[in-house]
Amino acid sequence: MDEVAAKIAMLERRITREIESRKASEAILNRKNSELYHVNLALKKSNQALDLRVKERTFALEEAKKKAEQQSAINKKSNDRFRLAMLASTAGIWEKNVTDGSWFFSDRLLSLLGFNHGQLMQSIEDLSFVHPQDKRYLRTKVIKHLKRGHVLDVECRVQTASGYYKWFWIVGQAEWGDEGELTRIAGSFSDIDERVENAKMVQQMAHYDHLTKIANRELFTQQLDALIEQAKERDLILAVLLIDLNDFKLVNDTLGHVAGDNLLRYVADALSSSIQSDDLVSRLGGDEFAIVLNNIQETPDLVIRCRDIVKALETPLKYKSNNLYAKISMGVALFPDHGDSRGELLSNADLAMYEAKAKKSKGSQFYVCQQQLIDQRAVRVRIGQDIYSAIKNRDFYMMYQPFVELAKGSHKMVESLVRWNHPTLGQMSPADFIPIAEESGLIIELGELIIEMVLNEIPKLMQSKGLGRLSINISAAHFLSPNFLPVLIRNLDKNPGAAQHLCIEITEGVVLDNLDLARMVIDKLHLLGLVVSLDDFGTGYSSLSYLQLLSVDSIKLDRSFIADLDNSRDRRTITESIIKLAHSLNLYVVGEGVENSQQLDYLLEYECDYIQGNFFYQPMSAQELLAVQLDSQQYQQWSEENSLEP
Amino acid sequence: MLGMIFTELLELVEKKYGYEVVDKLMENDQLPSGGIYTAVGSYDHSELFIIISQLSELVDAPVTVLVSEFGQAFLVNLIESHPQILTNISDSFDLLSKIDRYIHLEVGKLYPNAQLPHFTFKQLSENHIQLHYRSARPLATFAAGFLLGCAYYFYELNRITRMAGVDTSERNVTFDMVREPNEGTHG
Repeated sequence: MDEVAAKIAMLERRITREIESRKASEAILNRKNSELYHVNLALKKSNQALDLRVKERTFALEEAKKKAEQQSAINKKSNDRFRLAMLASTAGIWEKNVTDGSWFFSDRLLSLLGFNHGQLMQSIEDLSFVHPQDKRYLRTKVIKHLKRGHVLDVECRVQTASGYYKWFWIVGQAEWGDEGELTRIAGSFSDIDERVENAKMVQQMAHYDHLTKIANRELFTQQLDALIEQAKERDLILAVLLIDLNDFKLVNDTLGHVAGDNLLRYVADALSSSIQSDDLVSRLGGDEFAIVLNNIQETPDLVIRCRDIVKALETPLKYKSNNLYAKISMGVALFPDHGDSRGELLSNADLAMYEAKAKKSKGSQFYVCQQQLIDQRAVRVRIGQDIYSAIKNRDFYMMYQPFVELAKGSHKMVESLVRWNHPTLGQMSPADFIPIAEESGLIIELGELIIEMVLNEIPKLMQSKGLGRLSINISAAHFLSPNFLPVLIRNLDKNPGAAQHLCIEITEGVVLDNLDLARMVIDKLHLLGLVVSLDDFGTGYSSLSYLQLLSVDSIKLDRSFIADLDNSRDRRTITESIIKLAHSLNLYVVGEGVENSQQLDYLLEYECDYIQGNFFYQPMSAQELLAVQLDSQQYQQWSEENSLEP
Repeated sequence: MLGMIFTELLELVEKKYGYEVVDKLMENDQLPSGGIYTAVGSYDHSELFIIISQLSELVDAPVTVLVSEFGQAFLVNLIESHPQILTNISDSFDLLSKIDRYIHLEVGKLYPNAQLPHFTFKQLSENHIQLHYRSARPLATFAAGFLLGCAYYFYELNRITRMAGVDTSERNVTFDMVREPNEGTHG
């Protein structure tokens, strides 16, 4: 029983131990659970923190990625843009990476120059393809760019694969590293060949005469100015030669403009070959050429060189079946003797040229300007200025010289003559001042003043009732000027009835300048009631056919015929023939400059209609003329009443 | 020390000597744990020596023999209750070479606080190894039993010699093992 009880007690102990052990295990497990829970919690927190961290990192990464993508897109765009620009650009791009020595050339550049990469690399490294004259310049510019950052921008000639040089515009820009070391240099080539060539052509066209290919007036002017400056600095003597072709108009008129052009080219070539390399030759226009001889040593030297020029033109130009001779008139002015400016030298050379031209009938001539010529011209210029003032001040006045009608002895015809009492030179002959007025263009204004003055006198002169026609001398330039008729008509309107008492005297010059216009003006004058007389007949060309063509009403025999009547049979014959011919054309004839009775006798014999001259009347004032006419009228009346022949 | 060592020991004692012996051992009031052990608990290793010393007296057997037997039985129980230990292992040398690198690793996962001994494995030839045992606890004899259990489990006749060393204590011992050709079968 004890044994059983002991066994039971032991089993109870065992159960107690097992229970205790189970509880201990459970406690441990609970503790482990709790630990696990806390570990889980910590893990969870740590996970959450980690998640947050991951989220943040992800966000940051995404932002960075987005940025990178944007940047990449921008890069791509700008890359694309650059690539497009490079494709579209007409320029060829080059780049050298200095760090590794490699070169980049765009396809465009390779095609512009016609080289492959290797050839171009070789040429660009040693600049062997740059024109020898441009190489040093380009090299200097590159060095200045690399050393001092000056702009690298050069226009130069580059030899392409075809072997020809073409103009290129080369630009470049270097890049330096942080330590100032050169890292790369890039730039472009642009083909500017056409532009440069065009510019050269424009330059050529602007400065050279297209017909003769020698310098034109523009270039001549520039170069002459430069030569004058140089001559001033170095005390040199220059000769300015103005050359005019004699009767060039005749060549154009008879053989045509092509012949004229050929002759001009021939002259240009001959002149060019007759001068030295540092001299100038130019076509100033028309048939006018100019030469500047540089550095003349002494007068004989100048003469020799002028003769050489004349000689160079002695050989005629063969044109079709004609031999064309280029005869020239050449005027020479020297720097500094005849002026120290372009204007003065050209003006004085022109003066000398007119002297040469005066002797053109003897062939090509040259004349070196003389101080006397310059002085004379100075006087003429001053007189010209005085004429201008005298017109403004109305210092001119009119004198009148009656003609005698030989058949009747009447004095109905009168010539008006302009007179000028110069303030310092005194009475000046129209023979002196009219040519100056013509040269300076003042003749038109003077003529208008004369018309006005004469027409203002007409009403007074008409009082005598004995006024036939009062003639006014009009110069060719004035007669053919567009203002002549309007001014005349305006004055006629102010003086009604005056037209019937007016005669316009013109010279052959009118006809030579413009026959058709002259005829029109004459017809118009006839319509207005005026008559027209041809003055100085018998001098110059005196073509009788003009008399018919011009439908003038009378001619005035030149005073040189009248002067010779008493000592030249030939002159008498001619005078008689002219008078007969004029009468056959229904023209009346005036003999002017009659100084003596012998001359008068001849003219009476040849039945000249009117005579004029100091033998009868000197020029007189309007007042005197009126008196003369009244006298003459009374005489006429008396003689008619007494049946006397005049 | 792991509670599992205690529960294994008490199971072995119960199997071999009956629960009365176990009951007597547990009634010893020198045991701080009061004789309540659980495999997942942790107890001072001195309790193990108290129990084995008392057992030696109760069953009249030397402590070393008891400890060695316990080592052998522990190995066998360990393998039977955790058969995955033998995955890819074909003999005792194989198993011993993997104690530190594999078995103790797995033990550590189950009992994070366990203080495990170190086994350094050295293969001298195909049938000859040396195993260096080092522990915080004086259980070299237990280890020797463990090695015998290992040979027994793989039907191997291994001659195990405890080599003389500087420290001949129970904490730092080198075992020399020579494997003899296999003659028996495990049964």
